[in-house]
Amino acid sequence: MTDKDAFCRHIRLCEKAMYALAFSLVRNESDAAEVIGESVYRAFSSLHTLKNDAAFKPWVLRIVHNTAVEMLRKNAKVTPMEELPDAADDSDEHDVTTKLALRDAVEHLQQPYRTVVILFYYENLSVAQIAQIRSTNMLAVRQQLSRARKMLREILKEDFVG
Amino acid sequence: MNRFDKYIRSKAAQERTEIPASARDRVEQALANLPEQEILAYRAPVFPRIAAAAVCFLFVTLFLLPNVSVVYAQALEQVPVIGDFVRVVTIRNYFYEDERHEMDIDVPGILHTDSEAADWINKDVSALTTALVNQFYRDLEITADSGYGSVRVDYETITNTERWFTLKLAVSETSASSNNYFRYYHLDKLTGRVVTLGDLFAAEDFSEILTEEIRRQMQAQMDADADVVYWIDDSGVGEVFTSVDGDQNFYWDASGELVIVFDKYTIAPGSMGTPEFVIGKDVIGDMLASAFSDLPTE
Repeated sequence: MTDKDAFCRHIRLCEKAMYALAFSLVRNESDAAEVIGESVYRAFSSLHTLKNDAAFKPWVLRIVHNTAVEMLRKNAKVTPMEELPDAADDSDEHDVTTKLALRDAVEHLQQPYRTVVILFYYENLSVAQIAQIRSTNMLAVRQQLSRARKMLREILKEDFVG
Repeated sequence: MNRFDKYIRSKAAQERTEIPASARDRVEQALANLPEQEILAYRAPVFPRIAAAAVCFLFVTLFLLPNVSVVYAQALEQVPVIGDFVRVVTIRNYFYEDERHEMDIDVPGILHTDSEAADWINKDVSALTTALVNQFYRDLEITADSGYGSVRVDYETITNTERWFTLKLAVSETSASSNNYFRYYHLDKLTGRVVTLGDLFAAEDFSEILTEEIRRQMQAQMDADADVVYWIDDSGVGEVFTSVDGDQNFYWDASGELVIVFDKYTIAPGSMGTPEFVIGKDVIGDMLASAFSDLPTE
């Protein structure tokens, strides 16, 4: 890709996925916006590393992932994901056994399950692409998806009649 | 795809991600403030420092001289760029052992006279093994008294002829379950280049042809033996064998047949190990690029 306008078009096509991924990691709107803004700059400056325009989405999502992780590590105002309370243990706002939107159920997952579910089910990315975005291997992603499904099934058991 | 998987996909499709106005504004702001700079096309990571000189050298030696000198052309066919002095030795070993954990990583190094490609392989091997060592110690901190884990790395020189060199790196990781995967590095001594599966073929449809042949072999094995399982259609885990790409692991076996190798779990359950498929010469036909039409060599 050697055209700035084409880059802008690709970014706009991917901005929802970029936001969803960033939010799944930093968990607040303003920081997610900051992450994707920074990611746009980084993507543009490293555009020469993009081999194939068709792979733009996983390529830019990897940049978003790395930017968000970097922010989590460096920025004290963001609660690191390792220190977040286990949302699945919260019982003050939601009774998780009642009917929930999938999005609410996903928000009850811990990391990395939340992110892999967002990428796999909402953004329709393959296991291989998710492994690339998260700098891990396909086996690990499959295991995370399998565990995430079990957790979601438990949370959504009232809604899903298997 | 099982019913719960379909259910999740259906719900996810109904709950499309919406981006808040503040985030969209931030994207537009970033796009509006992008610097006016020349956007470079993708550059393959191939030794840029010598690239220009190499192009000139190759033009003169591989195109100009062979076309003006029959003697040179005949001699050139016999002269590998790297030569047959390529040897692999263990340059480092990482070892750790306690009652619950074990690490035994042999790091191979290619000794050579002068090869940027061999240097590249050495660096890649070093980066992979260093990452595995670091990961092992990180896991060790977490699972100190509560888990088990091991990682082993072995290597093997699969081929080392006048024309071709193949190094196989085998990684075995064990925690709750085991995982094995390989990296094959191929060096074409004639051109001095690292070669991937995609480089071997001139035919644009090589991927489709190899994919079709492997699917045929998978189905034949499953038909013949009820214990054989490949994820051809629906694995229930979201990923099935779809196609062979240009970076797929491969090697030439002792009979000169092309063998395509898959890592554990990538196309089949763990009980199937690391599946290999021999691609007959009749399947390959004339798909090989002209630079590799003489392969394999003894």
